[in-house]
Amino acid sequence: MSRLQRWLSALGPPFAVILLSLAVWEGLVRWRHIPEYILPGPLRIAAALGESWPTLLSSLLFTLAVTGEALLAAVVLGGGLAVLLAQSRWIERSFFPLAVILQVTPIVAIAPLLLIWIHNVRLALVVCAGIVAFFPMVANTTLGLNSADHNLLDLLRLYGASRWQVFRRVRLPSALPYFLGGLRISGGLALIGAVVAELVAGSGGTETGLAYRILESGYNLQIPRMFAALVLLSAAGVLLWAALSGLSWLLLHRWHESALRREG
Amino acid sequence: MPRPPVPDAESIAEPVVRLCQVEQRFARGVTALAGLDLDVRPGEWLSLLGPSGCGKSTALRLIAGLSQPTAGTVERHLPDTNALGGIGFVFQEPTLMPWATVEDNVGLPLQIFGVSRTEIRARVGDLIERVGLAGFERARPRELSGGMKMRVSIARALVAAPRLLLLDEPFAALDEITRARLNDDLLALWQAQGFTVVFVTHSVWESVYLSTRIAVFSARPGRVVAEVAIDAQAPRGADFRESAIYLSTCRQVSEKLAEAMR
Repeated sequence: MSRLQRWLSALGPPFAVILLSLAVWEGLVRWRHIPEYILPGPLRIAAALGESWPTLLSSLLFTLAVTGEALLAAVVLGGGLAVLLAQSRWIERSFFPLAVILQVTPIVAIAPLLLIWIHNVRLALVVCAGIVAFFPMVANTTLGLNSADHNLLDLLRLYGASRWQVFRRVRLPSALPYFLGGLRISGGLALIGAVVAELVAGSGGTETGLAYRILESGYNLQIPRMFAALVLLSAAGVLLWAALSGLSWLLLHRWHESALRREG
Repeated sequence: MPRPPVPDAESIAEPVVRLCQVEQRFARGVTALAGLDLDVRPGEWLSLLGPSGCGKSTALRLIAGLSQPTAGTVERHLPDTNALGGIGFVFQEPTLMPWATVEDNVGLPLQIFGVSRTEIRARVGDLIERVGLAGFERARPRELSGGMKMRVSIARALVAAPRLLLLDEPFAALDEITRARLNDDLLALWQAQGFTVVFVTHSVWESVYLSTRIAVFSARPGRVVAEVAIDAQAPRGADFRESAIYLSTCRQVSEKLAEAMR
């Protein structure tokens, strides 16, 4: 099978399903004469996307920037904390519950407080999104660092390896698949966190993200525009997921995926 | 290939490792070893033979210094751990780093010791050649068969020129043919390099084929209940498997093992 054929067979079915759903949606809206302020059809949404493109694009970039910064902070701080937690069971037992508390408290409930404490709205949004993205990074990376092959660790002990050598040569590479799995989850969560925080903040002004465009369109009964912003949000989520999956594949396919040549 | 001299017990002043009245009790209340006396003599191939769960692997870990006995003493007459010429260990599983190439897996001990890059390359290349993996230097473990992975594991154990090689049922998971071939290759390496081997196995045939001495373990809590010396000259090969001494020794060891389990 050629490369193109494989791509088609992989991407064809999901695309067909999406196209079919859109067609049914458009047909339903036209057939039942559903007003656009209740449910606009896909074509009307596409038109709205075109009409408001410059505004929506700058909002998309803003939301993506907030998401990216939050994710970066989660990776650095979450990964760092995981390294600390993996140093000893005692440290893990002491600090892990705190991370869990942070995780289970709904971000919608924390966001108003953060907006009071942090005057810079943009920073508050990053902090909100970062908190949501933080936990999967900590949990997955800690699990990964602790799941190194015990015999391999024994072997390194036998050779008198230092703590740093054990970390760099065995623990860190063992943790990589777990870390990347966490990164994919955190990416999606960071986007959700950014949107939720912005909905709570309800900030206007020059720099606004897609969530505010959704609110704004809702107030003005511009439902097609609201859907257009929503479409962009979904697209951003898919793109983020694809990018992180690609990164994961790039780093792992040599040893952690199948499809390798075999002996003889 | 000439066989390295295996000195008889009396002429040896100092064993490589000496276990004296060793007891190993685990936290969950299981006593794995009790009253274990065992000398590992320089240059010999000593097999620890016994039923599953008799503490052979526990004894091997004690010999390696990976765990400490709850009673008794373990004396080790070997250089420091963090240097060449110490202990090599081969586990039941290949225990390789899946993310690293064959080369990097084999070179791991030398990298830990801080050996220079050029020397690592030379030693690793040599060992890969010796275990028959030339051409697979850049391959990752997933690309290798079970037998080849075990060869990588053996190469890694030998790369730091150990004086004592510890093998924990390394071939248990391999098919008969691969197992026989690896036995012969390992035997040849031992004959050529003259290190000491402690080999844990539950196969009577394998232990008689490979060893100069067999220590038969009792059921748990394990201790040595019989020792059998095998006085057969190398090279051992297909002929040895059919020889009278091989068959009679197998019978003798089987009887001792049956007694030990009674």
